[in-house]
Amino acid sequence: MFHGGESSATGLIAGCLYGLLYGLKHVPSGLYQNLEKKEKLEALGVKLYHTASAEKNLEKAEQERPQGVISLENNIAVNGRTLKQLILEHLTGPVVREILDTLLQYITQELPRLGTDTQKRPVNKDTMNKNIKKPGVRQPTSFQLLQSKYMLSNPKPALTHRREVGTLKLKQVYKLMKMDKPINETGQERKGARLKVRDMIARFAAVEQKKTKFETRDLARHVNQGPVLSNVIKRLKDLPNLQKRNGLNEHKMPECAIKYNTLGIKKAAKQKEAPKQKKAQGLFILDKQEKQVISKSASLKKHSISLGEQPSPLAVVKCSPYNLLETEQDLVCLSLTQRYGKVQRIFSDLCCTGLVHGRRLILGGLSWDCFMPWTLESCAEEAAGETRTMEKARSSQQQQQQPQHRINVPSNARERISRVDPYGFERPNDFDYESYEELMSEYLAILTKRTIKWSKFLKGRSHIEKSLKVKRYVRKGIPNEHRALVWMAASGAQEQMERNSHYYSSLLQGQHDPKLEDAIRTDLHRTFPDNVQFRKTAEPCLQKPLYNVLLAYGHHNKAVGYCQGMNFIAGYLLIITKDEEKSFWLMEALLSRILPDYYTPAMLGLKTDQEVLGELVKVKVPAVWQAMVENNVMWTLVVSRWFICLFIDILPVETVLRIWDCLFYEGSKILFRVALTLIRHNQALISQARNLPDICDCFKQITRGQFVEDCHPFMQNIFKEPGSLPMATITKLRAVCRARIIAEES
Amino acid sequence: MAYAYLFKYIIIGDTGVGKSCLLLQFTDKRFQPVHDLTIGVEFGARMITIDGKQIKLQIWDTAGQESFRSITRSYYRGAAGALLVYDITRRDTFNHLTTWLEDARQHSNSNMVIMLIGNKSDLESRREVKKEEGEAFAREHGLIFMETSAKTASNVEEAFINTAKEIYEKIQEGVFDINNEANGIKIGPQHAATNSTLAGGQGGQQAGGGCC
Repeated sequence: MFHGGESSATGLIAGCLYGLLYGLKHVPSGLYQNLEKKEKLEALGVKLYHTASAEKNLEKAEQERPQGVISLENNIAVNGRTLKQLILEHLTGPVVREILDTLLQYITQELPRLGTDTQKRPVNKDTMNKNIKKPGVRQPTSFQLLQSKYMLSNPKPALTHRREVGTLKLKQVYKLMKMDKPINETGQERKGARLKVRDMIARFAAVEQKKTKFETRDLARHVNQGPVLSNVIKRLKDLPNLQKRNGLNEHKMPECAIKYNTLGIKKAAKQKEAPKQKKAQGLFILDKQEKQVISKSASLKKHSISLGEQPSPLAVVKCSPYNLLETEQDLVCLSLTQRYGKVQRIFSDLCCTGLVHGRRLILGGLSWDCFMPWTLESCAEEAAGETRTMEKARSSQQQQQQPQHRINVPSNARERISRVDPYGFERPNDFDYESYEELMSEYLAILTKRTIKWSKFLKGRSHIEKSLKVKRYVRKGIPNEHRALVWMAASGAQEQMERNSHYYSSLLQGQHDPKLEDAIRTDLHRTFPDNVQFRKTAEPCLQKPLYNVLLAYGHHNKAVGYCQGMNFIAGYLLIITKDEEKSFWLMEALLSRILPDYYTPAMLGLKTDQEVLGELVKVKVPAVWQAMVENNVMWTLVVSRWFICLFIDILPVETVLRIWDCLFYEGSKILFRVALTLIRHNQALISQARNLPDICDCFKQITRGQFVEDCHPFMQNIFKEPGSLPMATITKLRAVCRARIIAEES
Repeated sequence: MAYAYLFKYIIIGDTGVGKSCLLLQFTDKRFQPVHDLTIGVEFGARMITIDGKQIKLQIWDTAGQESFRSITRSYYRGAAGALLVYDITRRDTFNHLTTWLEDARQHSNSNMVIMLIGNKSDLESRREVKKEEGEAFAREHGLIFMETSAKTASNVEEAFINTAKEIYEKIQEGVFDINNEANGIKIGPQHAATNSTLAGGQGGQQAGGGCC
């Protein structure tokens, strides 16, 4: 094709479009004859066609309805005003908003232009419904609407003024957020977490005070005044009673959810002035999902909570069950949507129900507490904004007392961010907390989005089949909670494990090779000494599982036994899967299927791949190749560790895991993509090096810094920067290089 | 920095004998109780003075595990000195010396100076290999011998410097062909610069391009 990206996908799309326009007649039959799942696709096409035709036919039925109402399938009455409100409604997604814009334009401009005598005739003032459609006018199909959007000569939306919803200043508020917690929650960590919640409540209290100009203890009075705040406080106040009844149990949760739902509707109604039940339902579809999850989650884990006697909200929070349902991630994942405006709102509503209170939020592997300062703070700010006018009027009369609770948020990133990363690695002394925080504030948004997508995708799926969609999803990153699952599925490890269910334990039971045992034992304390999970004092300590996995693998694959580097790989697998057997099978998949023979005594696969990389660099980054030759640098000097450790300890942990996502799905080719990206991106630096140590330094330098820390753009880069890299090329190069090495060695 | 000569060293020996720790002690003057595994190769460099001449040591620290032997072999080429290290508390690391020596002799130039090092001399209570045994082995194979402790830094400087002295002497004796880079010795910019002050820039550049 014409570009360096996804040529196959582009070709596919182009082909589809051609087929749509001209039919199959002109397409050479060879191109589609042996198409996989052809029958199914054709059947689907027919169905699609019928559905589309049915939509067109709706107009006939339409004529039997009350005159002039455009009815969509979900029976929401549509008129200009409703549409306009929908568009103005800030909960409406951008895509939906655009479609609605077009629809509005279609109704108000296109229809009249079509020459029909459109009238606006109020039918029922009570429901604020107006009929704008004249009988006989064809109702536009969804396709037509979309078409009108993209094909119109004047595609400008009818509405240019949109309500500023308010943006969440992520950077700013992010500073308030302690982003990650160590996997092993220590008492100290909890203390830190509580502090945050207390701060939050302090904020709430402050805003509440400002808003109501009443004393904070008189809470009940404001319940219906403040949109968010008083509810939160009320719920928190109620929490002890609720929890005294043996925690948040099954019966209680759905009830709360329903409350939440009503509240949402009420709120929507209030915003709209004219309540529209249907619309409210539409807007809160999410509620239903959440309700399900909530009731589901409630049955999963009960927690008995010890509570203090103090009734104040602060006390409640202090004694709150901080780990309540901490393993339950769905709820919060679902609650978060891509758009922060919405997240904010949903969160505030959830907070009202007390349901998310104290729950840990797990997002794409990074966890922090559900009481996210930014969320609540922005809610509070919003609440404050709404009552600002009222406040102005009163402020002259009353001198406000200071907020009861002082806000005590750590002032710098170093204090806000844990010393240990989410995988248990201690951050180095020179770790740049500030830029990490900045970087993560963007990455978390991506993680959230991916988490939602993956959760949706995996729901009710027993196994994952390879497809373009999954490939795309994998490239964009697998959320940490699904990593083990997807790795197992994509690599075939799951299948192997199921087929050989007792194999792993049998490997550990038999007689062991003392030499192997010794070799593994020598490296145990040298494997991730910077990771708290691998310390002897850790509970549980991963050294024993590491030993087991390596020992089992050594016996399973006697040709390899144990080779240094494997300890790091097994270590990462244990960190992610938290399961010895899974780690063993993933290791098996990597070493026997995904990677060539990197770890056999001759290391022929490794030597070959190092040379293959050299050949690729020669073609794709000639300047670097030149520098390597001039300074007489062997590739093995600079890249052996990249291949042996699969970038562990070379690149940042998060980046390595993102690479592994693709490695398990797409195979060893990914290693070349990463290596080529690093080299090509830094070619100016490398080609400036004047001697061997300089070059070696360069190769270390290029694995550090923003470019690799920022893992999401980096992963996008590895599929762009090196350009096309067909597997056929690599296979060919491997054969050539392997033959050369064998010839040289003999 | 200007130097008269550059010597390339290689450190070899079984895994866990303290090769990387010796290097770290020599280059950084510190000890790390739990050192990272060396996979592939690591580099270190330090300037020393012998006979009033600045000499730069470029030290290649290799992976000790047997699996990596086939890769380590490619690093021997062009080394002027080798530090062959064993652990006095682990007899098997001493027993493997013969294999190491064979490998080194086979893949390096014949004039390479080899220093035998019995490391971890601070762990006297756990000693498994007597100092005499080390000395005997060295005598038998024509090596220099020393017991060191990377932890206490005892004899570490000496080990590296004595090796350099030996190489330097060989140069003086004309055993080493210093113009052949395969011997692991390069003439530094200090020599080049003395030839002409006017062409200093050019000379420096040349030297820079030719040496490490």
